[in-house]
Amino acid sequence: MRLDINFLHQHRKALTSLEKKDKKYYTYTLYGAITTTIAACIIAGVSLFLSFSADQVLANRQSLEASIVQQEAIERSALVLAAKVGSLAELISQRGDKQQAITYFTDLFSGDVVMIKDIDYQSREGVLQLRIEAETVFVFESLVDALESEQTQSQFESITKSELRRTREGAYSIVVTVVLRKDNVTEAN
Amino acid sequence: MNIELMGQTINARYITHTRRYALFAVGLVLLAIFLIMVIIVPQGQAALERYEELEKQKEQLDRLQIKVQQLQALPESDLFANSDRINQLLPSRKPLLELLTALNEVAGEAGVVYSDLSLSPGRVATAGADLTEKAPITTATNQRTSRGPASGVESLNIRLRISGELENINQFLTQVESVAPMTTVTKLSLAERAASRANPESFFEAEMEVETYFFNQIISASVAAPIPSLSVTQQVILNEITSYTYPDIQTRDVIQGGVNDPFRVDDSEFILTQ
Repeated sequence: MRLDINFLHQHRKALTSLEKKDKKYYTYTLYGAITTTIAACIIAGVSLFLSFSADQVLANRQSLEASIVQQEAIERSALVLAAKVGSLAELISQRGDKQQAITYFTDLFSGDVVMIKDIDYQSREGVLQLRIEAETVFVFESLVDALESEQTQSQFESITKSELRRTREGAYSIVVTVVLRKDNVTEAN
Repeated sequence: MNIELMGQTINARYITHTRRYALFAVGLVLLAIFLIMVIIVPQGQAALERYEELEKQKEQLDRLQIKVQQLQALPESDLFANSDRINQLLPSRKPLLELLTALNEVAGEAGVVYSDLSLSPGRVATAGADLTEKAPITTATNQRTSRGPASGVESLNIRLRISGELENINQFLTQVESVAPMTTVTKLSLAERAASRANPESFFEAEMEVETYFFNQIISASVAAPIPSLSVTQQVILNEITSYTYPDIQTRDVIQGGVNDPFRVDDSEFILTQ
């Protein structure tokens, strides 16, 4: 009996199966490659767009900067004026404390025979020194009482009395040191 | 065509014929790797950096646009409307002449006589004030030049003696602090003088020290730095300074040439046309 063995058929079958597998992988890689290419194109496009936008923004910026430089004189005046107003505000505020303190003491002793003889204002430290003179010892007593009153003490950061004197005319004077602002106490220390 | 690979002989033609899809797949993988390495990664990083840079540039652009708008609106602002008053109150140089004029005017109004004026002007020219006007716009900082009574401010002290009735002296003290240039009384010593034959009524004499202020600050700014806006307090100050007295400084006119100007055009003959 003769036996026919067809090896070619087996080989073809194996090849066809391999080719199927290869085709499947090929399809996957094709999709992958297409996706990668599209992604590369998009990224390159975005990069180009950003580059173009950056150029535009830069051009706009240069034009605005040129416009600002042209108005340099106005800007300089504005900066100087704004700084001056800031300084004026500071000065007026500091001086306002002093004026308020003097007004307060003037009003406090307005009914009595009391006179503010000396004023020494140290603007940097915010300290005001007043030499107050009373004509008689009784007026002087009421002056000291007024200075020690809670109302006066609460008006200022601190009030110190010193240099009590009696003049030849029989008047009494005292130096009152008033610290106008709290921040200056710490600064002075 | 045969290829020797790892001791085995491979027929290239056979391989390309039977495994062509596998070879294509390998080629596509290599292409994808090439695209990722050459385009996607570097361009992606560059695009990210560009995007961040662009966002920053846009922010700066917005700031610049706001600044341009602010600059255009500045000439009509309260700040510029009060510029003369601000500059008279706080000049950029030592206001000696201005102070003397102000004292003269205030003394005249209050009815006191002032005498024994003494001062130490120090450096008359202030380099800082000069720079303030001419410094190029570079950085956004305000440098405090020295420890003055306020930021960017220095003072000029003047000692003087005034005499008159107590009421007039009080008036002088009040008025001197509401006159330009900005002046404040720092020391006062009041003494009563007895009546004499010349002055039958007793009067008071006050030795006082006044401090007048001038601006001495180096100001610089960058192009992108915003225009400073005024705080509420500063707006109040702008209103407050309108109540101050601004004395006129008399300047002598310099007349050059002949008495008559042959090229003079009378105002009435000048017609403005558009």
